[in-house]
Amino acid sequence: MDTILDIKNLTIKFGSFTAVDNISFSVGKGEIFGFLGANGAGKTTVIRAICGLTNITSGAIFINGANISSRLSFIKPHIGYMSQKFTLYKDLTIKENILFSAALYSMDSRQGIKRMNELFEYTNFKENENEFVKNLSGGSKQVVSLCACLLHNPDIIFLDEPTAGISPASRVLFWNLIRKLSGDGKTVFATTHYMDEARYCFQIALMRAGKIIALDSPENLKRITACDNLDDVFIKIISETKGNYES
Amino acid sequence: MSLDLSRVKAMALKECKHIIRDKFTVIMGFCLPIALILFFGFVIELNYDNINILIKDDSNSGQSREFVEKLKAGGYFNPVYFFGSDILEPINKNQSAAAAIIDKDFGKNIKNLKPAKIQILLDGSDGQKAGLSISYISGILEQITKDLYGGKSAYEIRTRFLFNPQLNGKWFTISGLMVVIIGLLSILMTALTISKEWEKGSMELLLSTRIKPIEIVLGKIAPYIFLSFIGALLVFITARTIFGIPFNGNILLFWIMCFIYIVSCLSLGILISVIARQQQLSMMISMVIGLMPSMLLSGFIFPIENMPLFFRILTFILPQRWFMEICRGVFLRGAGFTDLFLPLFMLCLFCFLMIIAACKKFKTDIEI
Ligand SMILES: Nc1ncnc2c1ncn2[C@@H]1O[C@H](COP(=O)(O)OP(=O)(O)OP(=O)(O)O)[C@@H](O)[C@H]1O
Ligand SMILES: [Mg+2]
Repeated sequence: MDTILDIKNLTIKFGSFTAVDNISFSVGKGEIFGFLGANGAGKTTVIRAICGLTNITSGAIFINGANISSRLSFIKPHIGYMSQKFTLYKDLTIKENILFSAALYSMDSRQGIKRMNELFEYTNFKENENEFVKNLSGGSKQVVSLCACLLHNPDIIFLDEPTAGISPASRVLFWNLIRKLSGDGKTVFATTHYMDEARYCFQIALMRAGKIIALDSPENLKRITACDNLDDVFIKIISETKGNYES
Repeated sequence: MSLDLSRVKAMALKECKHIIRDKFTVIMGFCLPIALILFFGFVIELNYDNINILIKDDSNSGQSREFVEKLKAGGYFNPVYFFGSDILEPINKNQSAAAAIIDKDFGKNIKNLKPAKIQILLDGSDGQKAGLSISYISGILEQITKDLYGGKSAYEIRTRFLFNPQLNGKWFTISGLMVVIIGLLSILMTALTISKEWEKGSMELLLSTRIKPIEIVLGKIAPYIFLSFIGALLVFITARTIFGIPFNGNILLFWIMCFIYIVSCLSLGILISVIARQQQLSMMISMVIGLMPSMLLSGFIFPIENMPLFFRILTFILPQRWFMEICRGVFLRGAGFTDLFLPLFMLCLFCFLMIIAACKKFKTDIEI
């Protein structure tokens, strides 16, 4: 499989604090890559670095073979980013938000509306487009956010905890969308706190204190640790690395 | 660096929607300036009109009497001739807040076009009052020097004497007040907009797209120009109608300059917003920056010529200082474009530098 994202020895420091500590991995085209880890593990920092929003201390990040440090403006049209915080404007309607995002990618309103309708159909989104975003449910808000970052048809989409704080039913629907995107050739890079969501991923990276302590497919992880559900896998891996630290 | 105007437009339109839907901004834009000018206008009127000033006229010449006449005509001072020996006594006893001792050679020196002396004594315990008095007296002195040394005809002196509004203390302060209020309003308008986006996290989203800092900055400034302009217009109308400030200049010229002043202050607000990143902090910084220097260093209260060199240089970077010159010049003296070229140039320069600084700071922020 072709590689779309390649991270080599990435280290990110804030002053003397090392938020990301020499990590390397690569993600293939069309994969769903799961990025897991406790609060403060460094997940968001990695995503922000890939999207060019944080300075890299050392190492390199490549998207489609291009180094983001030198070719960010070339890469930006190929990436979509949905941040951990809800970032749409609550005092604008769904349509206004979407058209604004479209304009940021230099689409005029006709193109924007066309893309919006396509994406709402794709995601099976049924709300009135003139509804104010503040009146939407958590799940609907996340779908609109997702559509906003898909407008320019990026190759790889970074979703930072897209399912945090929404209902279990909405979470399932959202992950169905992620799988649909992957089926259509999009690469999805998602962070989550929910272990049950990890089973949809092709690869899982488990982060702890800035380091990747496990990186494999869900099946392999289960086999290596001899556990039959992912919750147990993670408990086992984390307790083992803790042991390593102590020894 | 290429600029995509469609993105600037999208940014500006979005901002307009925020403004229209947020009552607070609209109320601030319209009510705050009127409330401020009414409040300060009346406070200043109550406090600072008709200050008794003792005059010890050692010169006893036509020139010295003319000076006293002008002082009186302004309505700010009420000159009282003093014939005693110790002029400090009534000041110490709080019977008078100011005194002027006119040098015995005053009249003769003016006739011979030599430097003439007047000693001004002020009760400094009310610093603001004293400052205002100095600024006002020096205004009159400047006027007199111009008239008497500048080789203008006697006729012109007469007309100025009767109609020149610069002799009116209230007019002098209200026009200065306009500068402060329009500036404060404009700074506050934009000071919150970018820090709000940082706080809400939407800035991250913006920056992950192809929009450039300069596009964000320009798109943010554009809608507020209109709003601040309306605010300025309201202040202008209040000053003209309620306080009866005359307007002697070219109205188009005045509004063009006002426009540039507004853009300068809006850009300053943007820079504050970019630096602070938090709404509360931005608000505090812009209050301090919008009020303190414009009150103290713009020539509003303390005349710039009397400041120590350091502060005089400091005033160069204040848009308020330049617009103060423009405002008083156009309003009261009917100054034209050529008289105001320097202040206008300085405002444009300021504006340009603020926008560059905001974009630069933006860039480095992203890279943290
Ligand atoms: N700009 C910054 N300056 C200093 N420290 C930072 C900065 N951004 C993040 N950190 C620190 O880096 C560490 C990793 O943060 P990060 O947000 O990447 O964690 P996370 O895995 O996304 O956590 P969460 O699950 O809570 O979102 C945290 O300890 C955080 O405090
Ligand atoms: Mg995070």
